[in-house]
Amino acid sequence: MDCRDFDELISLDLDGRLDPKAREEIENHLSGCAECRSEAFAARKAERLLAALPRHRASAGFGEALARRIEAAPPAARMPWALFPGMGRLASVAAGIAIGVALAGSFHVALNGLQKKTSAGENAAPGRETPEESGLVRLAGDSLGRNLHALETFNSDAHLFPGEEPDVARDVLANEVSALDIPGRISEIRRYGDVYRKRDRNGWDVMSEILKCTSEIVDSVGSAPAAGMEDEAVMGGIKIRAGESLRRIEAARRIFGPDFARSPVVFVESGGADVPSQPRDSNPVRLYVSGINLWTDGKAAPAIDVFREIEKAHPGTAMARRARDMTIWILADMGRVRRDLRSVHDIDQLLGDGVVISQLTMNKIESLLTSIEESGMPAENNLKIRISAGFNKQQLHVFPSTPAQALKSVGTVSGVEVNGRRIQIREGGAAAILDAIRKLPRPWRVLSCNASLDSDGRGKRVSIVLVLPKGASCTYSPDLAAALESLEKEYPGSFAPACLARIMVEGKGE
Amino acid sequence: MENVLTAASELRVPGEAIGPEIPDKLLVDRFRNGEKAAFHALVNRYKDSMVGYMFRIVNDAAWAEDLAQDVFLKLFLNAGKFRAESRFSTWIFRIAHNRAMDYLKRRKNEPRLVLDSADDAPGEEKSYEMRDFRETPAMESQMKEVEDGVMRVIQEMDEKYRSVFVLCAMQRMSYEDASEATGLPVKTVSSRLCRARRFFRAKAGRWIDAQA
Repeated sequence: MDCRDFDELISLDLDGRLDPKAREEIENHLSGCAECRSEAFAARKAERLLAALPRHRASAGFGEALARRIEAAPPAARMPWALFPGMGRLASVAAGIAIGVALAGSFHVALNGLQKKTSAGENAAPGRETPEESGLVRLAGDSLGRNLHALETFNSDAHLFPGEEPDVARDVLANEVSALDIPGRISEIRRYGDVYRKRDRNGWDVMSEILKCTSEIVDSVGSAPAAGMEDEAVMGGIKIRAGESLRRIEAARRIFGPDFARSPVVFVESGGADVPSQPRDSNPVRLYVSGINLWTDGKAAPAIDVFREIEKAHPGTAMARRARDMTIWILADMGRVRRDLRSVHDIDQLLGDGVVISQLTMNKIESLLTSIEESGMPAENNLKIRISAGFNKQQLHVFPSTPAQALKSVGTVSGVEVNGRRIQIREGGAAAILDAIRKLPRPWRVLSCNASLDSDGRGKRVSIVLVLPKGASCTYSPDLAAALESLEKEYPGSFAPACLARIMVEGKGE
Repeated sequence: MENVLTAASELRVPGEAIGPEIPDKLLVDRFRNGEKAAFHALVNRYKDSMVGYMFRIVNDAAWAEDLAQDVFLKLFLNAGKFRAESRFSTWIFRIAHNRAMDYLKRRKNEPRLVLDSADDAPGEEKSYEMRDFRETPAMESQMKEVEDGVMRVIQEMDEKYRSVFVLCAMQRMSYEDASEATGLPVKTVSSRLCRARRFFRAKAGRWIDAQA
C-alpha cells in the first residue's frame, strides 16, 4: 500500500465503508508505517472531537418565528393552489393561519391580524392590496404590531401593580408612564406601519422613510444613552455613542449610501434599532425605538429613564456613575422592575456608590477576564479570578437583540477560582467569593469590582451589578462584603449559583 | 441519520399527536392534503438538525435559525414538488444545502460592518445548547473554547469541502445521502470529505491533540 492512498482509505474506514480485506491491508500497513499510524490515530481522535461537540438546536422561539414568516408570505404563495384544488384563496389563507397558530401557539395578535386579512381578501381583486392588508394589519404579527397593541391596551395600574398597594417603585414608574407620551408613541408606530407597508417596493425607500422618521425623534429618543457609556466612535463623519442607535443608522446610511438597506451587519440592540445583519426577503428592516420597547409584551424597561428618576430622588447615585464607567441595562419584566428598584434603593443605602441592574452576558464575562489578563499589571498583583459558567435549560444568547431574548440569557456562574483556588459556588456564593478574597494576603487595592447575579429566567432572582469604577481610589472594604451579604440575606440563595466577581488590584495599596 | 433527525418528543401539537412511527413521506402527503399538524410534525422532526447543520456551515446562531426557517418556509411553499422517489430527509437537506451555499456566496460578496461596541459586537450572537456543567464548570469553559476553535477551522474550509464535511463528518450522513443533498457524485463526496478531514487535522491539531 502506498502512503499516498492512505488518507482516503482512512477516511473511508472512519465511515465504515471498507470491506474486511481492505481493512486488513490498512492494519498491515499501519503496523509498519509510523507516519500513517500517527495519521490514523489523529484521524480517529478528530472524529471523537467532532462527536463530542455540543449539538446546536432550534431555539424555543423557532416555531413562532417560522409561523410569522409563513404569515408574512404573500397570501397566494402561502399555500400552493394545487394543494387545495377548488378551495380558493380563503382556504389558502385559512390554512396559513391554522399552521401559523399551530406553530406559534399563543400568537393571538398575529391571528387577529390575519383574520382581518382573510375577510378582506374574500372580495379583493387578485394582486391588489386592500386597505386591511396593508399597513398595520400586516404588522399585526411583528414587533411594531405588538408594540402598538401593547400601547393601545396599556394600563399602568393593571399591568404593573395588579392588586397591590402603592409604593416607591409605583410612583417612579407612574412618572415614567406619563413621561413616555404613549399617544405620541402610538402615532410613531403608525407612521412606521406606513413605512413598513412600502417594504415590498424598494428597500431603500423603506430606509429613507425610516430615517425621516428617526431624524424627527432622534433628539427625544435616540439621544438617550442606553448602554455602554464608554463606547464612542466616529462613523461616517458622525460621532456615535453607545445607545444612540438611530444615529448609528444615519451613520451607516452615509457610509453605504443608497445601498444601506442591503448592507450587512449594522446594529442590534434592544431598545434601539435592529437592522438585520443582512436584508431578508420578508423582513428587510426592523426598527425598535427606545422607550417603546418598554411595553413590548410588558417585559422590557427603559433602564435609563428609570435610573434618571432614581438619580432625581438620590442625587449622585445611579446617574453619577453612569457617566463614568458603568454599564446600565435593565431587561426585566415589570414585576421584576419593581423588585429591582427596591433593591437598587437598598444597595444605594448600603454602598452609597454606583449600582446598576444588569444582565451580563457571556462575552461580557469573557471581556472582563480578558481585560484582567491584558491589564499589564504585574501578575503577582492581580487577583486572578476564573469564572466558569453553567447554564440552565434555556438558551444563552451572548448578545441579546431583544428584551425577550435577553431574558433568556440566564447564565449561572457555577464555579469560581480565586488565584488558583477553586470555589464551588452553591448556596452563599457571593459570600464565599468575598470570604476567599478577604483571606488573600494584603495589601492590595481594588480598582474595579463587578459582581453580577443573573436571573434564573423564571423571575425568582434579580440581576445586580455593583460597580466601583475602574480607576477610583476605592479600597476594598468590608462594606462591599456587607452589601453583598445583605443582599444575600434578602434574596436567600439567589446569589449563590449566579455570582460573578471581578477584582483587579494594583500595586500595593493601603 | 434517522436518529439525528428524529425528535420524537417534540411531535406533539395541541390536541393531536403524531408519533415518530409515521414516515416522513406520509406526513408530507398529509400536509399536502391540508393537515396542519403534519407540517408541524415535520418541523419538529427536522428543526434541530436543520439549525445544527446551518450553524456548522455559517457559524452564526442567529443566521442558522433564519436559514433553517428559510428551509421550512420553502418546504411549506413547495411541498407539492416533493417526489416520492427521494427520501424526504435528503430532499430537505438538499434545500438546506442550496440555501446555505447561496447564503455563503452572498456573504462572501458583501462587506461587513461592525458599528457596535467591541464587547457586544453584532453578528456575534451565539446560542449554545445548554447542558448542566455545574459538576464540572472547568470542562464547560474548556469545551466552549474547543468548539470555538473547531468552528473557526471549519469556517476556514473552502465551501465545497465544508458542506461535505459538515454533512458527513458532523451530521453523520451517508455518502449517498450527502451526494443527493449536494448534487455531487458519491465519488466526489468521498474525495472531498477526505481532503476536508486532512485539512481539519492539519488546522485543528491543537484541539485534536487534547482529545483523550
